[in-house]
Amino acid sequence: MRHHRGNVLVMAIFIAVFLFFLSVALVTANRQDILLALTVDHRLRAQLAARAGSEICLVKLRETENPEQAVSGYSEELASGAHVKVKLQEYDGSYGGGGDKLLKQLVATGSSGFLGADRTFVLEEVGLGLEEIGGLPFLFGKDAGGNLYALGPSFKWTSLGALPRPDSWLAAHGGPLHVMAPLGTADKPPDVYDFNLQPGPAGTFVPTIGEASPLTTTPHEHLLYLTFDGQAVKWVDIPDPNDLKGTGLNKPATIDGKPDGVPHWATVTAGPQTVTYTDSQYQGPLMEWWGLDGPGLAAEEGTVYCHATHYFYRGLTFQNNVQVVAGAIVNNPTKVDAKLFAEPCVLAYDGGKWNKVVDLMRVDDPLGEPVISRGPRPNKATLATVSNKVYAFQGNDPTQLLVGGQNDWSPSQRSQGISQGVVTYGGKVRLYEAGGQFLDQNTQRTIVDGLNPNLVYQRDEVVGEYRENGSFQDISCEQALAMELDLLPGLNNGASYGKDFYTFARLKKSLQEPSCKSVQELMGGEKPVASSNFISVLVHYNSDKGWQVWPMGMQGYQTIAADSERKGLEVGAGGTLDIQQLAVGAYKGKEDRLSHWVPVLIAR
Amino acid sequence: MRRRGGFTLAECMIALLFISIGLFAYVSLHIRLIHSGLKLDERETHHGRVSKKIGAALFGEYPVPPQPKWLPFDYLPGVEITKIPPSPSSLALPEGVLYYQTLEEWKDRNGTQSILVDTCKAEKVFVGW
Repeated sequence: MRHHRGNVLVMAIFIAVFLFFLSVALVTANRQDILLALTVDHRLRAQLAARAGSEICLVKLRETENPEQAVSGYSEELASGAHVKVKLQEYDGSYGGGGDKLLKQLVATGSSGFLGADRTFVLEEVGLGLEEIGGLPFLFGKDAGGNLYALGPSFKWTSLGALPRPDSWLAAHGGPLHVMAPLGTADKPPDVYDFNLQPGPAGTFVPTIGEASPLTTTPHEHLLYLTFDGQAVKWVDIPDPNDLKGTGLNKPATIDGKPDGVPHWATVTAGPQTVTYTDSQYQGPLMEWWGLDGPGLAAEEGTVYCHATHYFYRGLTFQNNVQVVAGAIVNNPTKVDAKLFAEPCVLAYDGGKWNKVVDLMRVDDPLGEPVISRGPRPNKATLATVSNKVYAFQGNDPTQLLVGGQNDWSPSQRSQGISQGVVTYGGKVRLYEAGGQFLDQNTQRTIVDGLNPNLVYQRDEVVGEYRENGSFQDISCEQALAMELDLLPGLNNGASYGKDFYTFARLKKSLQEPSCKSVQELMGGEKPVASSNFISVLVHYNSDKGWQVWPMGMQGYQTIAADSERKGLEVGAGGTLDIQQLAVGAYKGKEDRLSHWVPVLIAR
Repeated sequence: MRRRGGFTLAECMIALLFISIGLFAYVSLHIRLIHSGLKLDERETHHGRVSKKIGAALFGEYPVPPQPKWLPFDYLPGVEITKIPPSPSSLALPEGVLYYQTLEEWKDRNGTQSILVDTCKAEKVFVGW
């Protein structure tokens, strides 16, 4: 018979070993629980560190002129023990919309313990002064009340107080800002002292100098320019053109060719009648004078261009011519009546003196008729200048753009429809035109020659998508959002310098009807209906970098409320810009050139 | 004489000893693990509170971004704000950046336990001009 000694012992050992392995398994599970708890803690710390680094560097970017230097090598250790490193790089297109030169990618990597977390900002650079100009760039605008605002290189609007003349155009193009002074501040036109004819004996006349009378009673304008040293602003007078510093004709009345001449008296006898008369030659004053008109103003660097009127006053020409005919005294005087000629012109002030740019009247022979161009006349409410050439629309044909020559205006471009304004950009003059597309009864407008604001949609993918939440978008049935831009036409609402162009646009936001059950319907509500609304925005175009909407890109305007169409544009300096006026000036200032970096996408 | 089957007293005693050692060790370990699990559970509760606090601090005042698809993953609307500036002296913050710190402390049999997290937020991320 077999013996079973030792079986119990073996079983006991087996049970003990079993319990040992069971214990090991439990310990391991517990360690995993601890590890999981630590992982959760470390992950939170790492994520928060990445968030801290990304937001600190975003602010640093907005505070310095050199973005690379601002965040280069940035690293920080937080009180929690987490560590963060940040790098700024060109946007690599990971989230769509690659190749956009206005986008950069800020990647913050937080680490805590054995865990790391990334937070990525795709940033759009929004700022003035991306192009070098004669000084620091300033974008000027005004509100409906005539208050002036300046958006400086620090990308902050500053109120510069009331304009001297609320309805003045703003003219600047890389130089100082020029505006019109209040009415009545221009120099008075000169007084004219011309001869009056007094009847003399036997049909003769006696010319006598009359009382002073103004050359013209038409009011004219006076210009000012703005000085700015980075702190204080001051309006400085520009001397009125008047006689163009003596280059215009200005001869006083003469008797026998002498300003201080004395009449010569002669006597003629016919029968019993003896008549004493003056046989001197009388010539009234000959005078040229220029007065500024506006309202069109244009500027290029430090030169300002303005519509004006060229006056030529040709005084009375007179000489008695007495003869005895058939025993009677007969006078056949030489007489040319005084006449005031007035023709439109464009003058330019270069800081030293006024010069004629276009003058439709030329006085070759002061005693004869002036040479006056019979060509088209400009609409004085339009003016633009490129490379010292001036452009304006034809006065009686709002579709025809004219270019100014020395003594005439000749046709340049013709607008396809009724033109709504003219702007200069890239060394060319361009028209706001009716583009033939209609949008809610308002004509969509584009700038000719290839500046298309809707190119901003090249960045649609970046603007409209948050990749990590793709699944959320798949199951949600929200109203699809579409945004469109069209330029707001205006006589003077476009400003440019170098490769930068600034103007106003109308941003249309459209919400489509959902294609499936919406969240509202699922919750017992009504189905959302399609809707659209508008807002005025400021847009910027750079020929190298494309279009962008200021100040926050298009995404900043996605939540505009219904019926929020506004005529003005809030600028954050307590004002609302009138959307009709913009100008880009340049000043030697002390402001840093900063950009407002806008997150268009946040990912982790 | 025929030998009877069964175990000797010595065998039984040794077997009982082994089983007892294993059983007592296991019971002791299990009690320890239950305690550890309770501690982890408590820590997880405090971790949740820390997350909620810091989330409230970060997003309570945020301008609401335009669309849900724009929201960061951990957006927590309508939670009480608990800002705790200023930042530690070692952290140089530019103007316009707020520092947030949340410290959660509690006591157990082993003394005071804590979770510390901190981060920063720019005041104006989605604001223009």
